[in-house]
Amino acid sequence: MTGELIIQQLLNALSLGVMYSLMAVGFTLFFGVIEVINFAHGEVFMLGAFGALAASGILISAGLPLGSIGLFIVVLLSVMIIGGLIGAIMERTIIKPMRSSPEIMTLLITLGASIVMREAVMLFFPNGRNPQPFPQIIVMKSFFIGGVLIKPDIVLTVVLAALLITGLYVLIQKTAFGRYIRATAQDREAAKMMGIRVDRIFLITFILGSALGAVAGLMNGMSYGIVKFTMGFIVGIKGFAAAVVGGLGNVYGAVAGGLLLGFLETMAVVFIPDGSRFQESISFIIVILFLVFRPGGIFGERTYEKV
Amino acid sequence: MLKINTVSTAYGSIPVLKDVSIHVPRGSITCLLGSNGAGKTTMIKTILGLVPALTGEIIFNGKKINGLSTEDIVKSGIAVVPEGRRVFPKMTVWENLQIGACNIKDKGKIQNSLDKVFTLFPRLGERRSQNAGTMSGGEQQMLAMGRALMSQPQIMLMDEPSLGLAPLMVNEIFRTIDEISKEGTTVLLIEQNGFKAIQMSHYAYLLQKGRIILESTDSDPASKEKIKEVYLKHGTGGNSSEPNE
Repeated sequence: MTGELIIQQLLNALSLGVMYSLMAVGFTLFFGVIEVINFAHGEVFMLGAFGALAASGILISAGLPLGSIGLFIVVLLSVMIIGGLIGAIMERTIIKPMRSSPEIMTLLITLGASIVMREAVMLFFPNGRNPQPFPQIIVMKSFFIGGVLIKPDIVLTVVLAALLITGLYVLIQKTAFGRYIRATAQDREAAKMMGIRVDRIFLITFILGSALGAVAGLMNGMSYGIVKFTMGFIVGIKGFAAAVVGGLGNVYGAVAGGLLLGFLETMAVVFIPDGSRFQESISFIIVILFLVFRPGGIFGERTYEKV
Repeated sequence: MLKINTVSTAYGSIPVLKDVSIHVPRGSITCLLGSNGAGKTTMIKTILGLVPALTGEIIFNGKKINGLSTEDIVKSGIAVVPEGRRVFPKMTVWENLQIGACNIKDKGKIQNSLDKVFTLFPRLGERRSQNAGTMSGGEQQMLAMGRALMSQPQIMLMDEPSLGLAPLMVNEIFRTIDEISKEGTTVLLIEQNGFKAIQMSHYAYLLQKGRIILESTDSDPASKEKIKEVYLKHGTGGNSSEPNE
């Protein structure tokens, strides 16, 4: 195998990894701050992709030229808004009312919501039952660096994810609002006693996590050129797996977990003969290994560190 | 300033507070004594709206506050130093103090409070970038008090500030409570460590099994002494009618 090919595979791994990371960050935020495991998060990812499809369709028919930076930015913002809205609606309708119920209820209700969302797209999105081609929202020329062919959409995905994750880091670590999130994650009742509006923190956390999940859906559509109503399930489970590998509740662990899964999956496909057959199971084998041998996650804190 | 009128609470079907009435006059240090399980912490949680008052009412500055959300109650000028301190362990001293000021928008005001807290507790100033979880119990207690002061409260509720501290540190904490009171903040002090608490308080109440069994009065200066006598002689005030949390 040539060095160029390895570098290209590393780039592929990176773009897959950051997508998992964005999903994992959502799972870990929901768990760390609100103490819920949201099994509908994968469907937010799917709705992000379909939202991007719908938004780009509308924008193109409104006259924005296909393949332009402007279109990309407007679609990106639309997707974040759609994801945030879905998150807000979910938090208010199914998460908040379940707050004092046993955790198993939240698990069940989010699972139910995920099925409803999936079926709704299948039934009500135009031709939703079939895979839909995803338009090339942004067109950039491939280029070579040191003899390595670089696909620009991979660069775009990685840069965008890096920006979003950095933004989240700054928000959580450096702003007053981030302090409220961390305080709520560390001791919800004490946060309340200090006057933090915990209800609002929960809502905004859900909006944030869901918006990031929806962007992951957009990235997926852009890199594979096709979207389908079933696409959320497996990515949702993998995002959850990445969050567990990183130590559920630990935001930086979630990013690392996503990158690790993306890397190992890609490498398995490349180096194991006929490895693509195993691609879907790799992540879960890793999760099982982590749960057995290192239940605290990559950074190895046994008590779940939260945010 | 803070009036609790015939308040009762329960955890499920287990009654905890029974017709409790307490009056905390403006500028005073009022202490509520009682042994483990008498219902002291429940009293604080009820004032803060974390546990609902089933009967009676809680009046703060002439306004009924029971039924309001905890956030609104805190915003109206009540700060708490919770039992077991409850500082945010993975945040720095500075961050913890900022959390205390979460209802204050004016940056200048926050800086003023911060300066005051660092004057009152120089140790917190030295350790402003240390994580709260790595500090000693006494330092965490100072931080919990500083954090409460950051909201510039009219009244501070202190839940067993001496719990688990070395005697020297206990003295230090009580001296600071006195100082806070002298600067004009009203204090409701909840204590198991009765002797010191009664001595420094203007008014005292004795809680036993969820009921106020003795209270000091203005007209009878000896009444405070009597509470001290009863509380210290019997040693214990109640039993475990309050479930362990």
